[in-house]
Amino acid sequence: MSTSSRRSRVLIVSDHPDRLEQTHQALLHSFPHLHTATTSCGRLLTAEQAPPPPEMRGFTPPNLVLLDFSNQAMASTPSATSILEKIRGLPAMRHIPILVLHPNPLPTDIHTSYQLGANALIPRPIHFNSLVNTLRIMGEYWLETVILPKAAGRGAV
Amino acid sequence: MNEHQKQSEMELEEISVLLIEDSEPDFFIIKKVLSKVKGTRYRIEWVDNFDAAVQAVRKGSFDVVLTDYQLPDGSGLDIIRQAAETNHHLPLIMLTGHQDPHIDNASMDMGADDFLPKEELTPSLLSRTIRHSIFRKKAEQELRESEDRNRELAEFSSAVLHNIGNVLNSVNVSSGRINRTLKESKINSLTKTRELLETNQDNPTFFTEDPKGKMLPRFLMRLADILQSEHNQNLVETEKIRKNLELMKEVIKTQQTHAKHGMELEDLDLREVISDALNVNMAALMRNRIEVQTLYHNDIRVQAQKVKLTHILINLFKNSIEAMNEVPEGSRILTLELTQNKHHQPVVMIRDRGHGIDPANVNKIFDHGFTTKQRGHGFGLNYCYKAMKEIGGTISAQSDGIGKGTAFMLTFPYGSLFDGQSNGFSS
Repeated sequence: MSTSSRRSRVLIVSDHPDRLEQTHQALLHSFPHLHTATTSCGRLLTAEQAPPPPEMRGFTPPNLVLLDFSNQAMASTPSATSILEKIRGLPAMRHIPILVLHPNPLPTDIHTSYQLGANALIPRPIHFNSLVNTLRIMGEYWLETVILPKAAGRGAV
Repeated sequence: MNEHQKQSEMELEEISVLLIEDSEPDFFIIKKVLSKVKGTRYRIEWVDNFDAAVQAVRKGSFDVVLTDYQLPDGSGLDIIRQAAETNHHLPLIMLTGHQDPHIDNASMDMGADDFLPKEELTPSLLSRTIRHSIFRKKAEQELRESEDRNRELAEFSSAVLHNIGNVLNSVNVSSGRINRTLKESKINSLTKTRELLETNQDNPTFFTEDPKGKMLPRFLMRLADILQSEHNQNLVETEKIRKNLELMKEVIKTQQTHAKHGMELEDLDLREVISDALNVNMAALMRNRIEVQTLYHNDIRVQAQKVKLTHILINLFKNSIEAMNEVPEGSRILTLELTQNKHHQPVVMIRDRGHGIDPANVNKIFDHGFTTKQRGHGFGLNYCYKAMKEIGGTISAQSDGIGKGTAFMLTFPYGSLFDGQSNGFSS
């Protein structure tokens, strides 16, 4: 197995802490050396603000983003599309590949995701084992086959 | 035993006495009385003023202290008070010329073990008093030690209950969810569909002409999706219950092996342990709309007891969740950072934006029984402190003050870091 996944930093964003934990563990299952950052509720905190909030001081911008969203998001959380828009609007993050995981994408979800600059929309399996499998295939391509852009200076989560 | 006693009688048991007495004639009298005691040799150190007495008590190792009531530069009561403070294992006997019940009571209050009027001194009385006071001090000491042991056991038991309670809560939530899913299940629609199909068995145009029949295929497809998702939810919750029951089983096993300290160190992936602990608290995290952020800079493995570490994290997460009760919903953030300090020791940082800690209390929060919660017991952090110590690491808290949030830092003694050079470990 290639070691290039060791140098990758993946940011996982989800609207649901339970599913976030599942996706996170499923990804680490196949790629234990990844450096990861996760955030539930989809909040985007810009670490560019000075000084950055204490919990963000150790944050280095990722070189791959996984957006794990569903249509049944908790009411108060932003939607996947608004987060996509926000990431694409941040100079430090706009070149970072974004993969969207969606449990049951409708045609409009597929359209808007690519429209807003998602690099791939992946149907998210419900069973953990299938999820591990899907993320392994995803990672073999995005983490070990392609060359990811270098993480820019201080960016945003 | 008997033989041992005989032997020690032949060799003469030696008792060292500190005698605090300002009058030389009295010193000689007491010395003479003590020399007449059969079977015991008294080694006497004599001091005749207050300061020397205090110093002697502080540094000397005596079996017993005899002190006069009146001294030129202070009273025997003060010496007794001082001695009781610095060395409470030391038996103290007050000697006095006057028979005054007031002095008797006062000296006992100050911590003296006995009281003897000088005019009544006889070898047998004095030696018996000395022996009794030594014996009583020893018994007191043993009692205190056994109380300490019992308290430790009680603290441990309450920690076990506390930990099981935490996990049980999560089991309760999961079973409640399963129950609700089952109660609200759409499975009844299938029964109704069956009835509909039965009544239209002989109608060949039911699926093409009948308005209900035309809708049926789409309805069934949708029903299949719903039932599948119900099923999946139940699977997820039962899996959580199974994991939590496993955890409780381990807690109880830990309790049983506690006496032997027989818990095995395991090579643990900190991220996995954090994930387990997060899952136990997941219901509360979601109910309180808390955003969880993790920053994992390395995959760090540590040597620790899995159950202990899981419970440390469960307790800390629970505290953070409760600390953010009064924070507005949009700003409840729990951040977990996995990193290393400059000595390459693995560090877990747990930050919340909750009510923080009063700087005056930062050092007290790990004490047993200390709590700022209205319904708290003060077990949680004390358990964390002790368990972390047993693992060989440390726990510390930082807070910029009330309302500024709290950061807990767990530092582990050693770990292994898998960097680019190390081989394997991926599956």
